[in-house]
Amino acid sequence: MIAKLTWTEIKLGLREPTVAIFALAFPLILLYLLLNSFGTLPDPDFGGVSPADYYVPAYVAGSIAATGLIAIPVHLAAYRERGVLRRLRASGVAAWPVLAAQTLVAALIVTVGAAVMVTLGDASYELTTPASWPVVVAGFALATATFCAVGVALASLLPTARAAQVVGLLLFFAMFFISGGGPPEAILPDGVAMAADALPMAYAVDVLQRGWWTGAWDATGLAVQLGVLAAATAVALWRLRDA
Amino acid sequence: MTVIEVEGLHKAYGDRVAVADVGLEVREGEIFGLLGPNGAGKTTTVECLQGLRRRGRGRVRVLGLDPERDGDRLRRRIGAQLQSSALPDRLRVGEALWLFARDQDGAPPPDQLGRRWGLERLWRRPFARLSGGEQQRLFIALALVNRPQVVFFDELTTGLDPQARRATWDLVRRVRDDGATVVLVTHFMEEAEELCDRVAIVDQGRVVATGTPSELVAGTDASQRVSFTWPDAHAAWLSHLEGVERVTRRGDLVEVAGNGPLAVRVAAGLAGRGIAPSDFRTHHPDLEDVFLALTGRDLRD
Repeated sequence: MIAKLTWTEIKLGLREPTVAIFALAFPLILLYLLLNSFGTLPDPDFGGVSPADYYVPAYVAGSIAATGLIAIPVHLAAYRERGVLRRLRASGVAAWPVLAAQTLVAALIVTVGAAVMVTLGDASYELTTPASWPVVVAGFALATATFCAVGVALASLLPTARAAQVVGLLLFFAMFFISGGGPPEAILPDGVAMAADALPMAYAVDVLQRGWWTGAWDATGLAVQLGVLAAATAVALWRLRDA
Repeated sequence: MTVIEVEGLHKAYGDRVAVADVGLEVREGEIFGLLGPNGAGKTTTVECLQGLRRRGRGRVRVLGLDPERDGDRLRRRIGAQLQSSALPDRLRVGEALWLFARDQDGAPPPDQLGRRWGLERLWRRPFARLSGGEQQRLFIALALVNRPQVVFFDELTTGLDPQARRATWDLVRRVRDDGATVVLVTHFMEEAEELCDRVAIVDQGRVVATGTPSELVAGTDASQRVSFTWPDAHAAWLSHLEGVERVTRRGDLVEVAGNGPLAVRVAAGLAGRGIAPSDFRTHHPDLEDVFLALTGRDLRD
C-alpha cells in the first residue's frame, strides 16, 4: 500500500510541482546568488571555511526545512480538509501509510535538491568533500525525519490548507535566514543568534556543517533534533490516534 | 440473515447530541434506507457503523464485527461512498481505481470494474474535471473495488440533476443485484421510496419508524386526497360517500380526503351525476406524509 501511495504521490507531484519547486528552487537560487557574491576563498566569518563549504550544508538543511514545514503540512492539511484522508480510511487505508508515503516523497525531493546543490558547489565553487560521509548522510537523514515529523504534526494541528500555508511559511522564514541561510552565525547580532538557537533548523545546520568540515557529530544538534523528532511524533500520534 | 445490528446507539459532540437513540437491523441483500432531514444524525450513524467515528454508547455489529474494535478488518469487507469527500484534483480515474484496489482474491481487476460502471471513457480524466454524476459513478466504483458485502451510500445523489439522479439509482440497484447489501442515507423521500426495500425514518437522532415504504405509508393516518374543480355549491352528497372523512372547498376547487378506494368512489359519484371535471387528481400519501404525521414537521425543513 505504501508503495502504491508513494508512486501515486510522485505522479501527482510531477503534475502539480509548485510546492516542490518552491522547496527546491528557492534555496537553490539563493545559494547560487550567495556563492556568486562571496567567491571561493575561506573566510573567518564563515568559520574559516569557504563560502561553498559553509552554505551548501546550510542550504541542504534549508531545503529540508522548507519541505518539512511547508510542502508536507500544506499537502496533508489539504487532504484532511477535502476529505481525502477520510475517503482512504473508509476504504481500509489508515492514515499512517499516507503519512509514510508523504515522508518518502519528501525524502526524495530533498535528496534531489541536495544532489543538485552539491553538484553546483563542486562544479563551480570548490566545495570540499565531506570529512565524513556517514556523519553527513546520517545527519541528512535525521534532519529529514525531524522536519517531516514536524510537518506531519503541523498538518494534524492545523485545520485548513490555507492555515498550514501561512503557519508553515512563517515558521520557515522565521528560522531560515538566521539559521544559516542568511549571514553566517559569526556576524549575527547576539539577540538574533540566540533566537536562532531557539529554533530547530540551526541544529540541523550545525550537524551537517560540523560533519562536513570535521567529520565529528555535533552532539547538541543531534540531541535537540532527536528531541524535536520525538515531540513532533508524539503530537502527530496523539492527534491522529483515531485515524 | 441480519448483517447489521444496532441497539441504543448514542453519540454526542460536547453538549450537542447528534444521535440520541438509534436501533435498527439490516438484512442481507436488501437496500436499507436511512431517511430524514439534514442534521437528523444519519451520517453520524453510518460513520459509527463503519468505525470512522467512536460511538458514545450502544451496541453495534456489522457483519458480526464491532466497528470500533475490529475497524480495519471490517473496512476490508465493506465499501463506502462518503458524503463530502474528495480525491486529489489531478488523480485520474484509472489511477484512483488502481490505488483503491487491494488485489484480493475474487476482486475484479480495476479495468473490468471501470467498464462495468461506464468509466472507461473517463479513464485518464483527472478527478477535478469530472462532473458531479461522473464523480459519484467513480465513488460507487471505488466503493465496490474490493467486493464488499455491505456498501454505504451517503447522500449519493445530492447535487445531481434529475437525469443523473435516475441513472445513479439504476447503479445502486445493480450493486444490490450483484449481491451486496446496501445502506442508503438520503433526505430525498422520492429516492427512499424508489430504491429502498426497507426504510428507517430518522428524526432528531432517533429512529421514529421502520418498515417497507408501503408498510410505513399504510401505518399512518395520512389519508388519500382527491381534488377537482366543480363550481356547484351542492356537495353534501360527497360527505356521505363511504370512506370520506373531510370535504373542503377553496373557491371552485373541491378537495376530498379519506381512505379506502376513495378515488374510485368519488369518481363513480361524479360520473353518476353527469359531472366530468377535467382536472380530477388523486394524491396518495407517501413517505413525506408519513414523516409529517410522525414528527409534525416537514421533511424538507
